[in-house]
Amino acid sequence: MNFLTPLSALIRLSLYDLYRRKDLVVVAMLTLVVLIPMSFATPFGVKGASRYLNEIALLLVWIFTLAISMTRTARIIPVEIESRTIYPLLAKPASRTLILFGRYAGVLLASLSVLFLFYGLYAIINALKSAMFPWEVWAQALLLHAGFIILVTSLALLGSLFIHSDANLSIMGIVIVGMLLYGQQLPVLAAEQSLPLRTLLNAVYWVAPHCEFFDMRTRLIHHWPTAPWIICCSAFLYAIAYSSVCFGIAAWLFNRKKI
Amino acid sequence: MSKRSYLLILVMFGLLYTTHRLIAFNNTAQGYSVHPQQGNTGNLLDIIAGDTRALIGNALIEKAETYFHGGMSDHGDCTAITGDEHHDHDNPVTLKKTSAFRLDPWKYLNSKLHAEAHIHLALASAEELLPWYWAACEASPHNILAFESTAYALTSMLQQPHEALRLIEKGITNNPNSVRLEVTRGEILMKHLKDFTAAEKSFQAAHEKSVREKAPPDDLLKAEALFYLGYLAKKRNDQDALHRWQAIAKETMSPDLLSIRDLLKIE
Repeated sequence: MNFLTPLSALIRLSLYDLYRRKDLVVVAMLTLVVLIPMSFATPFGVKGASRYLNEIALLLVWIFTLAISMTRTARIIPVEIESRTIYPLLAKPASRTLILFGRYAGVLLASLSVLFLFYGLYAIINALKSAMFPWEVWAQALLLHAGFIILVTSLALLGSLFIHSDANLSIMGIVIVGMLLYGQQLPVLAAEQSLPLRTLLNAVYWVAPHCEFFDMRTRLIHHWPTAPWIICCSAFLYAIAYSSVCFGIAAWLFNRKKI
Repeated sequence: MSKRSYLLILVMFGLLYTTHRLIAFNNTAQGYSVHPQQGNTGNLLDIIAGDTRALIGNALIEKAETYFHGGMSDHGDCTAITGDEHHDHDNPVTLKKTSAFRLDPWKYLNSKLHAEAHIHLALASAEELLPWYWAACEASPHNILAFESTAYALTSMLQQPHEALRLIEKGITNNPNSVRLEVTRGEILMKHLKDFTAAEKSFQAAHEKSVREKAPPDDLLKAEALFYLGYLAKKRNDQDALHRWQAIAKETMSPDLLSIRDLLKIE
């Protein structure tokens, strides 16, 4: 159990880094500034509409958690190298894989803590407003959103090891938003193309990260019934498996990287 | 900030104001807009934004439609459930889910997580549509569909005809050439507020506008306005007016239109 001490130290470092920078406070303030005036609106003098508020709140939660988790993860290694703080870390009696895992786990936990905070606030406000809050769908949405965060942080970590952090953020942003919007349309698009492009698009469909699985906002906003738990767990396991592969490649690259 | 920055801001405002006045002058002198797709408005914002406002308005109407369908974005989502053709929403047999995606685990997983048999929004929850409709009307004041759809939701789903009338009148102010809005106004006044005199004035305005716009003989809105004018003339036992509208309909409209056939049947 020798690896636990440096691992917990690295995780604490990441958590401390997130909360020290006050990013979370700025994000929370921005959410309130957007949502509070909207909550007083009564279009055409008719009261009672709440789904649009839930939709905007969840959209903000998605945007802010994605921004926080991606920017944090993409900067882990490049910043350590640029500021040369990587050398004291490498001098510690810990393998490179352990260092990478510790830093990654720290950022992941920090991002998940932000997610839990936002979902907690969302649940409290909705439960106070209405007695019929769909707790089970909320729990599924939270589980899958956590899966999404695990997936995107591992992708950002992998990208940070071979491209510049700004380019990494741009490319990963395009991939993630592209898959969120058009992930399920890829086979239809592929079928309309000629042969080499069709094969390429089909390959992208099978290999690219299917971020669209994790977006349960519609189910939560429109009070749909719960999805089967086995399906939710399968999607979560997909995220774990995909991020494990990404982390494995990242560790392999980091072990061979000349610093 | 330096004095030069203040001067720059002042010059920019001056330029914007001059542009605005020049555009307004151009519209008055020539009688058409620089951007005819936005209507003859002379509004600087319309010219800068171009069709963007119309696109935003349409997207917001689509959002309201999605809410009406309980979160389903379009019929494509329904086909994700049945696997092929669009189904009858209210038929429980067609709502049975099929597992057409066994060979594609990604599609199977996605369909199980997202697609559901959709139901139309209950009338009691119709207020959920209003924020999107309101935003559509505000974002795109020349979008006739936005005003019409909102008025429908307000009158038929929420029983708020006065609010609908106020909105339609605002729409007419923004779109003074719209025959459709004039007909909608007349329908609200006649069917929901039972103000037949005001309704008749609206239908007359709709008819005049369609004549001014040189509507073709098969124009449905003009036919509808003529039918209502004849119907209201009959309602107050004004046979002369009824015969006059029937004569206009015979002369100017296609007899194949249902509204015109119905108008000619009134005795």
